Parts: sequence; C-alpha cells; structure tokens
Amino acid sequence: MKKTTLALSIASVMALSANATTFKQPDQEFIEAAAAIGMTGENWDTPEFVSSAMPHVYKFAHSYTLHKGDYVRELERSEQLLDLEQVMVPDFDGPMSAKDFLMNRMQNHNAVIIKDGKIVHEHYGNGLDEFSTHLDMSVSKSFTAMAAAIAVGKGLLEWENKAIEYVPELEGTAFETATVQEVSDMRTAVVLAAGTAEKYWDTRLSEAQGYYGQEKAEAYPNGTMDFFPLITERQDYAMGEKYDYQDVNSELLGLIVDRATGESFTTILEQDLLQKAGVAADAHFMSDKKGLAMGSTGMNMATKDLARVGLLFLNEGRNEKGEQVLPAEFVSDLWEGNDKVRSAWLKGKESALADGYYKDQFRVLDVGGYRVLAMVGVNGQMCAMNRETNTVIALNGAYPMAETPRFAAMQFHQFIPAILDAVSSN
Amino acid sequence: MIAVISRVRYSIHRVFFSLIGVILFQAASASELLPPDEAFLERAAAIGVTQQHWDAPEFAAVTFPNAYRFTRHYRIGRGLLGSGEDVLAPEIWRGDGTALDLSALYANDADGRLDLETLLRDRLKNHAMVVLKGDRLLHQHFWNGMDQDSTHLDMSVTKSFTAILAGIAASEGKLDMSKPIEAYLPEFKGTAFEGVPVQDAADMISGLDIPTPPFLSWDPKFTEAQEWNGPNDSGLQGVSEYLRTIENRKYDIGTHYQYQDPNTEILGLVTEAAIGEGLHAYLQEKIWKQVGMENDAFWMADPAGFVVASGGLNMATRDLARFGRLMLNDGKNYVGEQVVPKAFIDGVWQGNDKVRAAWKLGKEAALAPNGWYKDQIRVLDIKGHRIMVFIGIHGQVLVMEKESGIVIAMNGGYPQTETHRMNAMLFLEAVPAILDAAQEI
Repeated sequence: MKKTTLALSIASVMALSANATTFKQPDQEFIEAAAAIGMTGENWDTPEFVSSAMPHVYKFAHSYTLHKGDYVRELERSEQLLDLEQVMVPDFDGPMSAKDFLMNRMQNHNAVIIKDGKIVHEHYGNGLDEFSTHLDMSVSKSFTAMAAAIAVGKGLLEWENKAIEYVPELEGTAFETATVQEVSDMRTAVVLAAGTAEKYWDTRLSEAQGYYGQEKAEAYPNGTMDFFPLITERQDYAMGEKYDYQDVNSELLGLIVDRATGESFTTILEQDLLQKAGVAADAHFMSDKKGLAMGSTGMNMATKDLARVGLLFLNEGRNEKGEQVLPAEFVSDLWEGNDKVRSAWLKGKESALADGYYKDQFRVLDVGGYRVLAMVGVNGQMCAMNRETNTVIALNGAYPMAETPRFAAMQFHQFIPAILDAVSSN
Repeated sequence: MIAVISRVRYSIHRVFFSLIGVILFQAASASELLPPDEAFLERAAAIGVTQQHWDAPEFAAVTFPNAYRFTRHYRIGRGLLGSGEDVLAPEIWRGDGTALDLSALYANDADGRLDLETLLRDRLKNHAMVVLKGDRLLHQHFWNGMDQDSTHLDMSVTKSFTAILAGIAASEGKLDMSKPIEAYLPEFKGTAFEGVPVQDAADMISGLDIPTPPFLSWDPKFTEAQEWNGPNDSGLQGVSEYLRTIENRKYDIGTHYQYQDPNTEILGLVTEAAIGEGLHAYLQEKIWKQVGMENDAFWMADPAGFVVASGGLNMATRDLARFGRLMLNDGKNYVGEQVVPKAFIDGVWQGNDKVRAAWKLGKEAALAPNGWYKDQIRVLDIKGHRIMVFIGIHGQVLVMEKESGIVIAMNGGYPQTETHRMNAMLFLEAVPAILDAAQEI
C-alpha cells in the first residue's frame, strides 16, 4: 500500500470508524510492561514467554483493527454438553482426560466446540474470556485466502491469472510464472533461506515485516516488499507440481488481494467476512510498517469468533441468515479438492502425517475415519470442521515448539478423532 | 509406644495395594539397578519422543511423570506391609484439600493480574501441587493426567536429598564434612576438587571453573557421562569419569556461590565412599522407610550405577510434601522419631557468614538479596516470608515456612530452564500469594 493510500484510509477511518479498519502503531505501554519481565518483540515466541505473549502479540507490531459489526451470531448452548473430563484421549503413557490432554500436553488455552450449531463445550484459560483475542499464527493464512475468494467473488480477482499481473515487482523473482491459484495452494516450491529447529521458516520475512519488532525491521525500509525480491530460485519441480508449506505464498496472496482491490485485504475481512459471520469482538491483524498486512501470520481474534467463521464451512459459505458470505464454489472446492492439489500433497513432507491435500491455505485431512477441513497454526491454533458430525472445533494455545511431529500427531491423530467420536456418540 | 501403634496401623486398601506391590515389584528392591524401560521407550518413540530428546522443552509435560523410565534407575521402596519388616503408615491429614481456593487468589504477570490457577497452569506449566499447614491438607491438585500416586521428575530438588543423606552420614560419625574431598576419593587428587572441603562442595562454594552453554547449568559432557539421554560417543562411563576431567577453579575455595551440579555429584560420591553403600539404598533405609511415604520413588542412575545425585529423583508430590512436614518438625517423623538430624536442619536455617558472603557474589542474590545456599538448600527471605526451599529447574519446588508450618510442594514442566522469569513468577508471585492465603486459614 502506498503511503498516500494509507493516509487516505486513515482519514476515512476518522470519518467512519465503524465502517473501516483502523491502522495502529505498536503499543509502547505494553512493550514497556513486557520488558519488565524480559519479554520483547524479538523473544516473545520463545518457549517461556509464548503463553504470556499470545493474547497480546499484535501490540508489538503495527496492526489493523477489524471492527465487529452490529450483527452478532448468537450461539446457543446445547442440552447435551461434552464433558472433557470424561472424554478420554489416548497418549503413549496411557489414556487421560481430554481436559488434561489439552491443558498440559497440548498447552491449550481456549476451546470452543460446536455441534449442529450449538455449543457443546467452551473454555477460556490463560486469563482469557470469550471476547479475548489470541494470536492465530498460520490460521491467518486461511483468512488471507478467504479475502482472496471474496475478491474473486466480486470479480476483482481471477484465480488463474498470473500473480505478476497484480504485482509487477515479481519480475525476476521465483514467482514470475506462478498463477494466483498456485500461490494460494502453496504449489510454488521456491528456495528459501534455511530455518532452524526452533524457527523452521525463512526469518528474513519475519524481520522485514516487523514480526520480531521494529528494531529488526529497520534493515528493510519498505517492509515485506523488500523480502520478495530476495526469492529468486525455485526447487527442481515444475510450477504447480509440489506442495511446499512456505509463508511467502500467503504474504504474496495478501499483496495480490491488496493490489486487486485497491485497499488492504483486511478491509474485505472486516466488512465482508467477520461482520457477516457475526463476530462478537474486534480482531487485530498485524501488518508491516507500510500497511501490508501479515498474510501468513497476522490474525489475532477471539476463539469463539474463529468458531463462528468455521460455521460458514458447514453451511456452504452462508451465514445463519442465509447470506452468501464466502462464494459457494470456493467452499465446495475446498471440501472436494482436485487432482492437482492431491498430487502436489504426495510430493510434500506432510503426506506422512495423513492422506489429504492443501488447497487455498486450508488443509483437508483424513484422520481417524473423519474428513477434516482445517485452518492450522503452529502452536495449537486451529479451526477444524467436519461435515459428517456437523462439528466445528476451534482451539487456541501456546505449544512451545513449532512444527513438531509430536504436536501434529497429538492434534490430528489423538485429539480431533477423540472429540469427533465423543460428539457422535453423545 | 505411639510409634509402634502407628507402624502397624494400616488401612485395608493400603494393605491390598501393598500386597500387589510385593507381587509385582519383589524383584525390584533398591539394590538392583534397573535398565531403561524398553517397552516404554518404544511407545514414546512412536509419538516422536526419543531417549535423545526426552527432556526437550516441548516434551516436559509428557515425559516428566515417567522420566525414570528413560534411563537406568533404582526403585526406592517405602516399605511393604506383609514383607515382614517394620512399616510406618502414611500420616492421615486433616481436611479435604479445599480450604485454599486457587481461583480466588491472584498474582501478576506482564499482562496484569491473573488468578493463581491460571498463572500456575498456563504460565508456569505446573502439573501438581500440595499445600499443607501442619497436618492439615489445604489444597492439592494433579493435572497432566496424573493422580495423587503419580511420580514426577524432581530435577534439582534431588540435590537437597543428597545433602541430607550426607548430613545423616555425618551424624552417624561416618563422614567428616570438614575433610577435603580427596580424603574419601583419592582418585580426585590433581583435579579441581583437591583441597575442597566436603562442606564447601555441599554449599556450592568450591569455585569450579565449568563453561556452560546458555540455559544450561551444566556441561553437556556431564549428562553424556550419565547417559541421561541414552547411549552416546562421549567415551565417558558414569559421572565420576566426567568429574575427573574438571581441572580448574575459577575462584578461591569457599568464596563464591556458584550453582554447579558437579558439587552435588562429588558430594554424593564422597557420601557413598564414607558409608560403604549406594546412596539409593541409604535413601531407602534412612528416609523413605522412615517418613511414612505413600509411594515408592525412583532414582535415575548412570552407567556405573551411581545415582544422578544432582537431579534424578522421581517421587509423588504428596510424598515431597510429607518430607517438607518432617523438615519443619525438626527432622522428626510424625510419630516423633528423628529421621534427619536436628543439628543439620538448624544449620541450614541459621546459615553462617561464609555462605551469606558467598551468596552475595552469586547471581541469585538479585532475586533474593537476603538469602543463602547451604547444604544444597536455599533459605530465602521473600515478601516477609522466611522460607527453606528445595528447587528444581522446571518448577519443581518444596517450600517450608517454619513459623506457620506451611509446606508447598509443586511439580511442573516449565519449558525453559535457568531463567529469571520462572524464578520471579514462582518466588515473587505464586509462593508469597499462597503463603499469605494459607496463613489466614
């Protein structure tokens, strides 16, 4: 986003605060309070600080406030509640209650479980309540894709167009020949700088966008835009052939939507998604200093609101009032998949975890006899939908390590099937 | 006479379980070194937890209730009725454990006030806690799939037990704490330990020079020698071999408090040499069968069969609390028998000029300026509470306040070790809040 556009959108915010996002600076007061316990914009995601940080991460960065609207989707409590003390989850040292499994093994903070449109379980830990926001990490990616899908629905964007048509700066980069769809499916297989055990990704992106505080971002005067030109090589696969989970695709997808719509994709998220899904609390989407929102990791929202968005996927993209919020085709294509994404999945490393595919920043996995559509963040942030049981499971947590086989197994092979079994027989 | 009565008074269900215990575990007395539990290791590996990484931050919750299975270990028996020996039944506590409501107590984190249940579970990654005041149970909880009989890795809480065993040996006239280490272990002549009085090793003022990586208080070779993370190519078979490689001292003997595990290990080795038997057997005989414990404990051990004196005990949280109560009772068990020498406990409570001066030069003085470290035990003065504490690096804690008779025993799996943050949350926030509330009850 150009500075002038940003200035304009700030001006319009002042006039119409309920009808547009608000762009905010990092919260100095919070940053000072955090420093008192040794937590900084640079170390907040280390094991010992991550749970304290999760409700507040957006305060370390620039962010858009995505205001809630007038419509709030009321969620009735079911008469058949699920007692997580009674639901048993298998772990290697024996079965234990789903409550202990969540709280201690998965280091979960919040869970909202909805069956047939009614709440069967909700809890909020770590000092949070149903309106408290929580960093959603890579669950954000699915939101960026939802913004893209809505833009496609409005005729502002075409999946099969080349990304470079929207972002001419991609000339000379590894993304030169990619279509918007390939970017959205993470089928670009570019070469990134190697990560580490703790940070598996290319941390230059995080630094450029201000994910690790403003000091680290100083080396990148144009924010995230300074990162894309660094990616010039591709792996030895044809474009579209291989699924490789790389954050840069989500960042690029956000930028594409910005360019296609002429404003930050967070505006679509606020106006066309969250307010229509009926969220009850404002959300915060982190951004680089120039106003390009962090499409791979920026969302901070209430767990109950995440579950409200999940309900759209059990109703062909429509909200409770019958309004088409997400294009029906986008939702049905996610559930059905296609040959390209299935074949690409088999070439990626996650195929060892489960049968499935990655499409439009969502995973579809066959686990424990269930087909699950999921938005997934690395620390236990998740919104999982299953049609057979008509269930949404929304979680937020702070598992201290990213991308570990142990956590993937706990989440998908142990926890989700146990919950879906329990709601089926309840 | 009272003692005799208590020692035969056993409830029916204890007898029942004890008999099962005899049948299942008769082959596993304290004298037998048990191997890592292979069947368990296989199950753990299937979920991505390997012997090499079992103590990594992300696995603390899943492995700490079973830590001893990852290494060699000894079973420390509490005494079994039906085995023909004298057994002390566990003390029956008054109260149902609901007097202290954690959700009604508050402490602070960076983002403001949190109830203690939240602070403990979500921020400190606590797994279990037992709070006693005298013989009254004020609170207990067992999370993480544990119950009141589950053992949990106690890490450096172990150190205090090692020193207490040395103290018992000294009171029996078997060990002279003022003698230099080489008087008991001649093979340590020529190492950094030569000339260090046993007491100075116990007080961690030996002045050793041991380079350590960030977040570790030990040299990786140390745990390799113990096979703490399974077989490796260090070429070191047991911690004794590692200790002999420590050649230099950083400070003069007796001047600087430095928290270094080798001090505890050498103290353990010295004690074994002095008593002529294994520390594990001594723990079972002198403590575990004398307190009225409810569960057997486990002590992890190295390839040479020597226990991990600085961090290998696994015990149930209620048993840790029972021991705290004994410490507050001048070392006597609840039927009045002296288990830990009173002079030893008085010595810790009183401290001395040497340990006080050494503490001021150590890094922990920033957290608690008026404290000291004596005999592997800290005495701290925090927010008006003078407490004796055993501390493990992942949030394992035994707090004892003499004046009020309050004991707090905790087990946890804080994911980062050796951080100011954990100590601040625990000792400046959680512990004083619990002590204040428990004093009012």
